This record gives sequence, structure tokens and C-alpha cells, in this order.
Amino acid sequence: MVRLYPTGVGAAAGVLTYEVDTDRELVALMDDYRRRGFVFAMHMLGNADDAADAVQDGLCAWWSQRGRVGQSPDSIAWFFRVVRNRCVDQLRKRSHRRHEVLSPEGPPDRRDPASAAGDERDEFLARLQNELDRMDEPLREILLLRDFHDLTYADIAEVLSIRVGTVMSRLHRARSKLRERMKGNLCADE
Amino acid sequence: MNDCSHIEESLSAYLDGELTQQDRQRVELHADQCDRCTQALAELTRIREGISQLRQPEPNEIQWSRMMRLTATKTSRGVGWIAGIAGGVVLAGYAVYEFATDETTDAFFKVATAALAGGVLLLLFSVLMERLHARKSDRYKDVEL
Repeated sequence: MVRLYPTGVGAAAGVLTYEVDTDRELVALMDDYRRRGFVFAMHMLGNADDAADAVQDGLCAWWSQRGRVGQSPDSIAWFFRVVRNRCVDQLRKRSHRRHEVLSPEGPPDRRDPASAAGDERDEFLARLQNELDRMDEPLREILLLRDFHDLTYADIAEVLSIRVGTVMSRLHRARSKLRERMKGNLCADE
Repeated sequence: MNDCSHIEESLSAYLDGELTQQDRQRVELHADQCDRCTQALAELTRIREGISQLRQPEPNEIQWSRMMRLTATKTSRGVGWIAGIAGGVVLAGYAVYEFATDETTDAFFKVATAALAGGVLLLLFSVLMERLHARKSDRYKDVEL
């Protein structure tokens, strides 16, 4: 049995708190969606506060859909689609994407300054990040959905409201372009 | 080395495990004999792994709690707007009615006030239409990246 509902002072203040008897999976799912939704919204918006707003809207939709019989919003693709729509709305309003995406404080983490291999990998990832940020939005978006968020082609098709065949061809185009731009940094034996 | 261009288009889907078994075998057979496609596969794999290792932004406490503000906040905000606008419209209507039916007020003054109010409303309307037009012409494709 699942009991997930607004409670006590938190609810009065507009903050959802929840109680769960036996289904910890639901809470874990919500937590997972929130985390992944935030990262996804950050990829799109590049601003943490705006990303949090988009995720909040996405969670609201998820929450309202959960109560409906016959609805099955328990898929990350469904949730991502809602969050993405909110992000697109926000982008329309402010007409540009900010540049705080993924690595607001410089190169990616997992640094290992003690080893040359670690430095080289960091350099590679920083270059990759840079090239990724410079790509056209549809190509950048689909690359991140597949390779960073690990969505299947079917899921990506649902998020972007396109056909699976289009996902395949767009991904091919995106990777080819990125590979071209990364020439010189792609020694396969590393 | 034959059929390279056709195989290249399948390399991406091959890496993702999204090909049928038959297409998968076709790619593998070709790659065994083609250095160019083998290298392309290795490079695409490296890019793919690289993206999966990029930094993952984490929300701070404020952003985390913001994500937990759910329907109660949204609903109360919506209800607040509706109630406020409805109250304003009712009061304005009542004031207009009182003013128009007030026999102690000079007719000339009433006409002048109506003209003033009408003018202000027209100005507001024109600004609103201009905003709406600007909003419609604001295209997502023009988003600065």
C-alpha cells in the first residue's frame, strides 16, 4: 500500500512532505526523478534556480497524474518531456540560455592531479564539454539524453516527440559532428 | 571496405545496442575488415564514454526545497490572482455605476471623466496588444546559445 500525501505544517506552508508506510520504492522513484530532472533542466537552462522551478512543475504534473486511474506516468521519459516543455517555456520567456551548464566551476570532476593520465582525461573532458556547449541545441540535447542520461531511443523519441528513426539519424549526425570537432583529441588507445 | 558509408550510419546505433541482430552482425562483419570503421567505432565509443563522465550539477538546499514546493503553492497563487482580479472588477464596476448614476455630479464632469478613463484604457490596450505581438514573434529558434 502506498500512502503519499501532504502532511502537517509543511503542507500548510505549501511544502510537500510525505509519509510512506511500505512503499519506499515510490519515494526513491520521486527522489530519482527530482535529481535526474534537475540535471536535465540544468542542461537545458544552465541556471540552477530556473532548473529547480522547471522540476517543480514537472513534479506537480507527475503528482497529479499519479492519482488518476489508467495513467502511467512512472517513466522517466514522461517526466523528462514535462520538464523539457517547462524549460522551453522558460527559454522563450528569456530568449537565451545561460552558460552555467554542467561545469560551472571549470573542468569536470573526478580529477586526479597526481597522474598524467588523470590530467589528460580532464583535459579531454573539458574539451568535450566545450565542444558540446557549442553545438546546435537539438544535437546537443539528443547527445545528452542518450549518453549522459542514458535514455533509450524509444524514451528519447517520447521526450522530444519525434520518431525513433529520427532519433537514430539525429544521433548519428550529432556524434559525427562532435567527432569531427574532437579530431586530435581522440587517440583510441588512451 | 565496401559499403562503408552505409555502415557508418549504423555505427552510432550499433554502439547503443539499438540495431537488430542481423544489422548488428552486418556491422561487426564489416568492421572486422575495415580499419576506417573500426577507428570510427573506437572514437565514437570514447566520445560516448566521455559524455557519460561529465560533471553532474547538484542542487543546493534552497533549490532542493524549491523543487519540493508542490501543488499547494501553485494552487494558492492561482486562486489569489483570480480572487484579486475578480474583486477589482466588481469594485471598479460598482464605482462606475455609482458615478454614472450620481445626480449631484455635473454631466459635463461625467463626460470629461469618461473620456479620460476611456483614453487611459485605450492606451493600456494598445500597450497590451504590442506586448502580445512581441511575444508571438519571439521564436524559440532565435534562442541565443
